[in-house]
Amino acid sequence: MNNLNYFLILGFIIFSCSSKPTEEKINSDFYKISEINLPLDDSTALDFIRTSYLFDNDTEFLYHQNEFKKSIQVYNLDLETLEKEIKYPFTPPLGINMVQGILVITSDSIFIFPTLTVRGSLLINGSGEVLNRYMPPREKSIEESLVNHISFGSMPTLLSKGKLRFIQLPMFELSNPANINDEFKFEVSYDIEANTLEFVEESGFPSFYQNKIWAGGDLQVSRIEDDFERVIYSWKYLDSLSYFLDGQEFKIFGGSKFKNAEIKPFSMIPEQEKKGKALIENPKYYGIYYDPFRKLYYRTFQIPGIYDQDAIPNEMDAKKQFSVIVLDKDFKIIKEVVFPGGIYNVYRAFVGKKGFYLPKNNILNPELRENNLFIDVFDFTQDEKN
Amino acid sequence: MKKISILLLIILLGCKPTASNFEKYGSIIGFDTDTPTLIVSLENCQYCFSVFKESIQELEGKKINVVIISAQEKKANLLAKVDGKSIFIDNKKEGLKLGLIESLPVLFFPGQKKETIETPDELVDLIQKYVQ
Repeated sequence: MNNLNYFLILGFIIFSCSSKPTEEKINSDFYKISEINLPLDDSTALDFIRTSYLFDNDTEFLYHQNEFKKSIQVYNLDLETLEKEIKYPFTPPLGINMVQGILVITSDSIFIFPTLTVRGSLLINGSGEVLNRYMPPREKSIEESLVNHISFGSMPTLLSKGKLRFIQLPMFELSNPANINDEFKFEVSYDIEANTLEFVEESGFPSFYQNKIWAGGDLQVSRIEDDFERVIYSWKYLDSLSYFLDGQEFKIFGGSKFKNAEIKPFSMIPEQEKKGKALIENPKYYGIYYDPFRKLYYRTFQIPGIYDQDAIPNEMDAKKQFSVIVLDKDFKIIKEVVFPGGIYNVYRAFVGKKGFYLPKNNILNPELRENNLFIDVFDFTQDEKN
Repeated sequence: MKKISILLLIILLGCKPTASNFEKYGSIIGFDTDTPTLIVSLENCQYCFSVFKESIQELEGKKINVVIISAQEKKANLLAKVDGKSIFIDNKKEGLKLGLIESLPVLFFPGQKKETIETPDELVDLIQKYVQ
């Protein structure tokens, strides 16, 4: 065999063995329409974990609970300024020492939720005066009274038909497959008028998860309510989105074209390292968001990362690329836009008048500055306007 | 004889105890490892700031080192004023790389005893018992 033939055959083998061509990635920059620069004072950290967006009087605001100052900061996103700070009561028993999340309904109706419980949640006005304090009845035991609700990020607390709907995460042993059953409900609903708490029946583990062993950190659900009063659930490992109408479940495909493998449970309780590897390398969906201004749904998908046993887990996570799947009002996938890893903080995304807002406070962002929070704004209908 | 001496030297050097990761950490960050040392990570413990802030501020004046793992200097200083004498910042996250801490704060005592701190009360108890 002469050399030319040898290289041709070798080349053929190499090309045919390479993995299937990756899906075409749409560049996120194409949809970027603006950047917001919020100046942060010496007492404001860059994390911006507990936030709530408000569009009021044709102006955009981002409310941020500042744990250090025990205040709620109101940032005007149009003027890029801190408009005001609202001090809330933080001394127990009437105040909230540890805030879990906030929900802004109007500039004069701001809910503040304490950690691990619904009891003691406050409604304050724009001056920080307490309008109401919510005290659902105590359960018999402390354990039963605990509600490990999240109330921020892709698991916000919603106000719907006079009820506050919280997403809670389990506090039992997640590596025991017998615990992954239909008994635990991820949503807790508090009826403000009736002063009662109840679990939302539809929010149990989907059958796909049940009686199996998973990496605990991935057992979460995101959900939103749209303009049609549908509460839509997005589970981390499921391609489908689901909602319930008159007790009947509807499932819609909302999967990523970049998902390259099906998720498999562990066959036995994994060691810590295997769990960590799964958390980094599993493809998964993070949040579901509704854009009432465009009647669109956005679902974020985290593209699998590379596990390195010597690396710091949250840095491996921060490096991961992610995509935003855009669905229209009929849940038809319109497009999927990929974002680079190490720049945006997918856990802090929110929706506003101008589109999809992505803070750039990713811990690996080389341009991170502690005194400024930069937020890029994306309009995924940008190409339809041209 | 010369060969035996070399062999003995190799064995002796080989048996010399290597510095523990905690001692290495002390020399990287610049704290005295003979003093009790609390390590708090703000990088992978979302609640540590709010949960432990008050109890860490009560450590002022005690004979204890506090090392705050945080890439953000401002945030570390909001937890406790970094002075490089008893309050240190680890902005390169060396404590995580050396495996000294996973998520919750840890307290190292001289002699390498290590306690993971789950609540502020537990921290206060340990400090009262063991720290001057």
